[in-house]
Amino acid sequence: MTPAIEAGDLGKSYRGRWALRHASVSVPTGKVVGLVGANGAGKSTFLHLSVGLLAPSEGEIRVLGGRPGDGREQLAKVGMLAQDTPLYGSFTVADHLELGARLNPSWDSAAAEARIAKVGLDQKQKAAALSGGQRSQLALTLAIGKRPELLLLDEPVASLDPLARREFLQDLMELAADGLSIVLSSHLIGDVERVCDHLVVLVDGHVRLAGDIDDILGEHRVITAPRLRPDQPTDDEVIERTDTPRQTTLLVRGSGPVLDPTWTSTDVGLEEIVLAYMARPATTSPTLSSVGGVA
Amino acid sequence: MTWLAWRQLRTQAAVVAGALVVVVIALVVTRTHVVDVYSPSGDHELTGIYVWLRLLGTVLIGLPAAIGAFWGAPMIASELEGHTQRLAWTQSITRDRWLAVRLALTAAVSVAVVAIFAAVFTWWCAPLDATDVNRIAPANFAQRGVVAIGYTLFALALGVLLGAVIRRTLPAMAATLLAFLVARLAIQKLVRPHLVAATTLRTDPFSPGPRGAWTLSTRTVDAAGHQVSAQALENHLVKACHLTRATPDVDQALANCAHRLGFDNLTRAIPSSSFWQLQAAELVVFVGLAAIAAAATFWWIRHRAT
Amino acid sequence: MIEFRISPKSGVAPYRQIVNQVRQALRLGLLREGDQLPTVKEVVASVAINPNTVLKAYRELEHEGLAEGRPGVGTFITRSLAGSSLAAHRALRKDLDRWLTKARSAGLDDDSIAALFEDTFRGAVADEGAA
Repeated sequence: MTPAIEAGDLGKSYRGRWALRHASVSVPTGKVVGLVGANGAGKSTFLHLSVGLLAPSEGEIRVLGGRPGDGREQLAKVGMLAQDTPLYGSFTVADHLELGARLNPSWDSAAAEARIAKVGLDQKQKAAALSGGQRSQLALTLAIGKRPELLLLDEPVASLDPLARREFLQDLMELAADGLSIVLSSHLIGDVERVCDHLVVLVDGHVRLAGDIDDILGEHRVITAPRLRPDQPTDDEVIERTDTPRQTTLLVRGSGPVLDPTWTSTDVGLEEIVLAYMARPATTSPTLSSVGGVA
Repeated sequence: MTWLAWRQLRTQAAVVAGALVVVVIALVVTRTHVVDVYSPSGDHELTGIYVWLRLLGTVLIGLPAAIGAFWGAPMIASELEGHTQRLAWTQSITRDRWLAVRLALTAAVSVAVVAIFAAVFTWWCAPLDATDVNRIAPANFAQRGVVAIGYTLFALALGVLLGAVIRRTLPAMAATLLAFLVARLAIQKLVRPHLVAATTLRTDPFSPGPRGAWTLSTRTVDAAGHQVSAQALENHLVKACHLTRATPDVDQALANCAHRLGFDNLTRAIPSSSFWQLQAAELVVFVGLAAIAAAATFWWIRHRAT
Repeated sequence: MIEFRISPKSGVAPYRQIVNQVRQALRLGLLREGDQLPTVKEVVASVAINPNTVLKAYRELEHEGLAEGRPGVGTFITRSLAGSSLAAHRALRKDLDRWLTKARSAGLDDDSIAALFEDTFRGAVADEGAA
């Protein structure tokens, strides 16, 4: 099955700084993928490389089997909603739809118009006069109007009020239910956990963790002991260790049996796992979880 | 894509077209007066508002630069500054095609505006030019004929390139004006003299130079062909022919004296008959430069723009 | 049509919450055998969660024998949980309402009522177990 995005040792540098380096990850189709990381971690860079707005400095990237930005057919397959919803301020909503129709042979005019009507946008209004939620809906209509196979969104709900955010995510999930592959970046793990089923965590331009969320949750657990212990009960990889005089806590990856009864093992939430990976020192190699169980 | 290119250009194009219509009407309406003034019985001098109308020729000097700055520099710079390239370049159209159509449409409109203006103005000035004006000298050359089209295409392409490289609209506009000015003057000084063949004319020193020609250089030589300076010659002639400040028609007297003594002015000049040849040559130079700048822009946005 | 509510902080996985809500609806007779569950698309359009979560929930319901997916048509309830007890629900509701009115006039607040009910319920369960 052709991956949605396949990156091999992908790197991008500008002005002497590596925004992304040694990124090797395979993002499957048919999923809603969360691209998580702090500001400046390389999320936008990764998305821009995937859509051909940037060219790699190192390594390779293939999107739906093709090179990003390479010709009209490749461009038609991938829809992009960039950060801060870029729109032409002096163009009306109708102008933007016309832009979509003129620049995309695969544009579905009827569907786009229906969607604009459904979200309640006035076609004669200029884009500069729209609210944040309305801009996002217009930009989303533009991104999917050409019926792409993959949709990339860069922090799509970061600046939306809660109502607009919910409506946007509802629409996005409807698209996912129809089979659209989606990659969305966010620095809010809570949002990601709700709408995504696959995760890629970026820290300082490096991929630290990648895999299906169910697999990630299944592979990690927290083991605690009620007092300070220098050892660990299993050979599993320790992701994060917290020592206090009262308690030792280990976040581990693996399912080795905990035979020592003084240690207790519990499930752990996604946010805690991601934070632990983000706090890890830079020298460790990335953790990749997949259905095949390759680490 | 043509739709988008036009949609992004149309407001500014409308403004310029409106201004052009006003100017053309003004010139057409006033032309009969110009004919009268320069008819054999006329004053041969323009007065009042006509002085201002004649100055419209300087618009032909400024218009290419303005087009480069206002239509060229913002083309890519404003997209990069507003991040709208993230919208435009993720549609089902390659960057090459996006730029090609925008550049072609803007160039076509620019050339049309400049060509119409230049044609109407040249026609308006024809009675004037027929009598007294040196069209080929640098002062007037840019205000006549077809070179303004070349300047316009070059300024536009240069503006688009600088906009792509600098990525901010206002600095790109300033840079375009500056770079265009420098290039224009550099080519005028260094390249234009060599574009057509110059002829060497012999005239008497202190008599008027060749009419309607563009003088490149002059030197004075004696009968044996040795160069002498103008000041030294004047001193020599005054002594040799017993001339003083009080001599009537002193310039003519000096000329006659120099002629008798075998002195000549050797003038390298491009004659007025070469006007259209020089226009065509300079047009080719600037169109060539425009093509280079355009090619560089295509390369730049393919490889270097973010 | 049943409306699902997902609370992210409840500690229960979202798919599990959906399964529980379907079971609850079945117990209360709000869903009956032959009723169609909302499509995945309908669910995610009202609750912004990942479609696979809904699919997982529906698969779990199939696994428990409560529902069945018919390709191209939808997911349908195949069994009810209420059974004959449904008939008694109405009368039991009335009894409960009367008891609640009594508790309120006795001056009990919400927490006291809940505590009293739970304690009695647990006691009854323990007695049943012992019997």
